[in-house]
Amino acid sequence: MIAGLDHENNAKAIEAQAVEWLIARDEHQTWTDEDQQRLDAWLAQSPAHMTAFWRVEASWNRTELIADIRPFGFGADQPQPRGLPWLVFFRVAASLGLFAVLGVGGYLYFARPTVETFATPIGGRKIVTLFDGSQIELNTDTVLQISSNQREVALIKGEALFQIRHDAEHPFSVSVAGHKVTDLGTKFLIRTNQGGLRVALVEGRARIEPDNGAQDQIATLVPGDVAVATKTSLAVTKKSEQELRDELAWQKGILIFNNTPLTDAAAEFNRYNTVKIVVGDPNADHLKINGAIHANDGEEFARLAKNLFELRAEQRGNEIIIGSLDVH
Amino acid sequence: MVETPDTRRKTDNPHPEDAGVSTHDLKAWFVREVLPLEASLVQFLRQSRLHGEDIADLRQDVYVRIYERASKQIPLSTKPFVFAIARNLVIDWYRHNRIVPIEGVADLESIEIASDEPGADRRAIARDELRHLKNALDHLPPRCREALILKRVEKLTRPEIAQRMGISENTVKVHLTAAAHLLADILYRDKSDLGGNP
Repeated sequence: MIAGLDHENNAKAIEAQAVEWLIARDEHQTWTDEDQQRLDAWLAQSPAHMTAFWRVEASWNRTELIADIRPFGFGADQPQPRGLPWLVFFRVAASLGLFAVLGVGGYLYFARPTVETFATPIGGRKIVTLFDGSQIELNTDTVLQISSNQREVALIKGEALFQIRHDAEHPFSVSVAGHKVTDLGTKFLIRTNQGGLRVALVEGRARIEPDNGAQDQIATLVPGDVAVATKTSLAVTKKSEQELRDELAWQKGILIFNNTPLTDAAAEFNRYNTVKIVVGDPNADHLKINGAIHANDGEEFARLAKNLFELRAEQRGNEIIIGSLDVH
Repeated sequence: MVETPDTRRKTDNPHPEDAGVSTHDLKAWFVREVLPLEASLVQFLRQSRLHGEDIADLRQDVYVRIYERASKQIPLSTKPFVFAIARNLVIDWYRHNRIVPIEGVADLESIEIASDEPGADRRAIARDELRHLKNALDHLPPRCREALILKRVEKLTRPEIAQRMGISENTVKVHLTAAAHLLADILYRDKSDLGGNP
């Protein structure tokens, strides 16, 4: 399995299933022979299931030694101050990138059951996992609010990828730039800037409608659809699966360009970096670039432009100037 | 592991057509020899310029390939076997994702040097098991740790834990689930990643 749009089979999803089996089996009182048969069948389905289960089981089994270290200061009977250790944990975890790696954002969410705001800085990414397993991945420079029932979200700024478990009785909706996007069983990407929004539908279906109720600006999106909306307009175009996959490369910290004008590529790149690329040479406009680049590596971008087009690159403060802008 | 006919338990093997090694032996080998290499493996994937979820996905692909190959015959030497598989899968991944690696796949030599003492990973884990475990527990949120201890040490049931902690059974499940995920990642992660621990 290669990482990509197939999120059912990715390592995280399989690990989540393996853990679910593991902790269910640990409830000896309720674990039945039928449960064991179902677990055996799941394990036999694929080596990925088998090895993922072995891995979480082995680390789980090691905790039997906890009893031996309790004299050194562990135990449920020792009251733990509630607030501060959480914060320390979150700081440590955030610095280790634990939330992104482990997907325990839902756990974080659970700890604070009110309306919650999540934000990423420039160049940051964050995954929020909701109770039902739905996931929202925030891209760079993004602000998102989640209601306490976890079914209403507001994208205030930036870009986020939504992978939503559909529940017909409790529809999931995103408010963004004067519109409402409602999931109908869906994976979709929403980006907002300058009062407009763009929705790319990866899987399933979603409905977009403006808050003003204008009938001609309502659409149901199917996979491959890209809707661009402003206060007064709606346009839907098609993209191939490969194009969508490239567009989601930011999840891996990568930007992929296909015949992208250098100026557009620089603008895209600048969303992720505080050191901005400035394309100084007006003649650079017609230059197009192809390829993959790490989103947080300004020097790499400058080097690429330099090597590809023999442009000069010079850093001045918080700008890297590419091209001939009053350099010569 | 040397395989002898009487250690085979074919009924355990979900893929009898592979029938070389019993699932029982394969699992014992995997837990004893492969999992302790996970820190080095993840380091290798990171040095190959993979990020985020791709590391977990590639790691899974490596384990699957190890399972498939080792189920025919368990290799004499685990580490070169694991890293040869990892290297091939990283190259496949680059190709599949149409990414031209600017600096290429991480140098296998550098990984070997990073832990060149034979069996260092394994011995370190055996020697430091308790310290390592305590360190992992330090990284769990307090309530999550509390639920884990009630489950694994006190051997309480979920309803009993719920009552003891004054929370719902479902919340106990959330705590235990989070604990299982965190433990797997912390216990198999490179200790140097954890930085200045308490």
